[in-house]
Amino acid sequence: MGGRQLIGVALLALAALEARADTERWEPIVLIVAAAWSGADAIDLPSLRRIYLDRQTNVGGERVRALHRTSGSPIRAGFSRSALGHSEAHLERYWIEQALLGGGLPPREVASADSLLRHVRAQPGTIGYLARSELAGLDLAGVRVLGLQTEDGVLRAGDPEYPLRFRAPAPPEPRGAAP
Amino acid sequence: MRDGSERSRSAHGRHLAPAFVAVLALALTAGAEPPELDRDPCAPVRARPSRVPDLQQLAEAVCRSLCGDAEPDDFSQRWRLAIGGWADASYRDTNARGGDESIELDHANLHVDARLDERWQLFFEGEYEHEPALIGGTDEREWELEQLYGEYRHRDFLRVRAGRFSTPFGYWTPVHWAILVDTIEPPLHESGRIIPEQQNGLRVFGNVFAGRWLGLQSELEYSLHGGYAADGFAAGEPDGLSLGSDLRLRLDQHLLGLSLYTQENGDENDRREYDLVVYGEIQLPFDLLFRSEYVRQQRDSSTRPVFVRNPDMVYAKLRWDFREDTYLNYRFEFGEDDELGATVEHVIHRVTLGYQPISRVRLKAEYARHLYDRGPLDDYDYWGLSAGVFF
Repeated sequence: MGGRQLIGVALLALAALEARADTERWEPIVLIVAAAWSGADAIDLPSLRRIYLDRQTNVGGERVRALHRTSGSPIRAGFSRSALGHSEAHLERYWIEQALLGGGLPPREVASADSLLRHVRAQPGTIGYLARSELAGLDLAGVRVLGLQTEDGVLRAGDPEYPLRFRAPAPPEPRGAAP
Repeated sequence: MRDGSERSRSAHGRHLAPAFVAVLALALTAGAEPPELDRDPCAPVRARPSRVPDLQQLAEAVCRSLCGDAEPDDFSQRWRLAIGGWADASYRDTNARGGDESIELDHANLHVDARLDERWQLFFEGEYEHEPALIGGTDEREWELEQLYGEYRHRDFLRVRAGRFSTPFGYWTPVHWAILVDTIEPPLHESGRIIPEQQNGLRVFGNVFAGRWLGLQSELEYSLHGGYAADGFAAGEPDGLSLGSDLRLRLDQHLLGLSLYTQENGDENDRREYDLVVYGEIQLPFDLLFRSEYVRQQRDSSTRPVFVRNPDMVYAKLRWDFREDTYLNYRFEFGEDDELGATVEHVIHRVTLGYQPISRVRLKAEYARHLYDRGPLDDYDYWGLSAGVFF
């Protein structure tokens, strides 16, 4: 293969990668708790990490428990990276070791945003997370959205510095749309 | 020369080893894509299931029979049950005088963790363990109750554990399971059983989240315990009352700790022993981790034979996680070793390559050079391969 052909192949590969990137977008992850929970309206990142690693079970004297989304889902992978600071493989090893030490147990999993809402409403102090786009079609009665407490104030999902986000697949294009 | 019963036990181990390899192969060939999880509160006790037969299925069945359907209610939100286990096998060889090549099933472990609610926990752990022959020592195998305790968690800063539990002393002793640690052989203070692995008694412990300190997120962990040291392989005369404490400060991913421990050693004329360990861990750039533990034991001189000194032992290790699933570990160990009688100075250089092809499988290859300053023991080399699987 000649030099020009090699360059051509490389450019095609780059174009393919670019096209793939176009089908994904970064989407904020929203934290929710039950409206009845008397804890604060925002939580700091270290506390969130400890709660999801089962190292902390109380916030401000209030019992708190975590819910995860389904293992392998894009939102969970994004949450693990941006909130907990680790890959899912790393966290899997962590939980295996904790089980043997009699330490923490991994958060329960829920398969859908609907299921998450049911569990959050049922137990004040349960914390879960959703994609911002998932909020639109849901009845949010009985839950409230948590901000992220930082040294400079509270960050909300719409803020550009808001760190919790995941790589979401783009929604499918409607049929018959112009190419 | 081994007697008949030892040969029989060795043959038993050799028969178990291929079975273990088969389980390991099954785990390695399990698909990366997990099946769909059940959508009920009983299901998500594990992080990521695979097609390997899993004890967690039993836990889920029990949980489901108690919790009923998927509707969240008070009981199903609180009840948790986790069942797990692991096994490991090793090939070891040495050029030491009296040393022998071996292929053995080293451990088979089963543990059950029941959370009756968010405050109460019951934990059981049983283990088959094979302790390979030390040079000039004997080969030992036994079934052992590792842990059996109940725990009450009032708040994060106050937890009470009663029963049989791992001794909170330094870094290694409470995390001593072969499958969890970096190397095949433990460091000197652990192989010499300076501190008993378990205690029968009461432990009060907890965490205090102290906020930012020196620009780093800090956390203080404390532990106080009292009771009686549990008998291990060297079970002989019962030990007297033991007391211990542990204090560790975490600063982000760094760790600094101090543990104190005292007991009457029944095997040594009830002599009183006072132990101290200072330990620390620093996360360095380029995925390097440094860890060290210094252990000192002070022995009651009135009952101490004249040729046995108060031992000091230290190790320092550097681990490089050059891939997410692979690491290289170097450990330097130095200390006074009295495992075989008179105290001799023992130096070990140890290099380990670890590989985790999937999260539930741990493979290790290890080389160590053992050096003695004097005494009846010659220097020797050691090689080992180990494979462990969680199930």
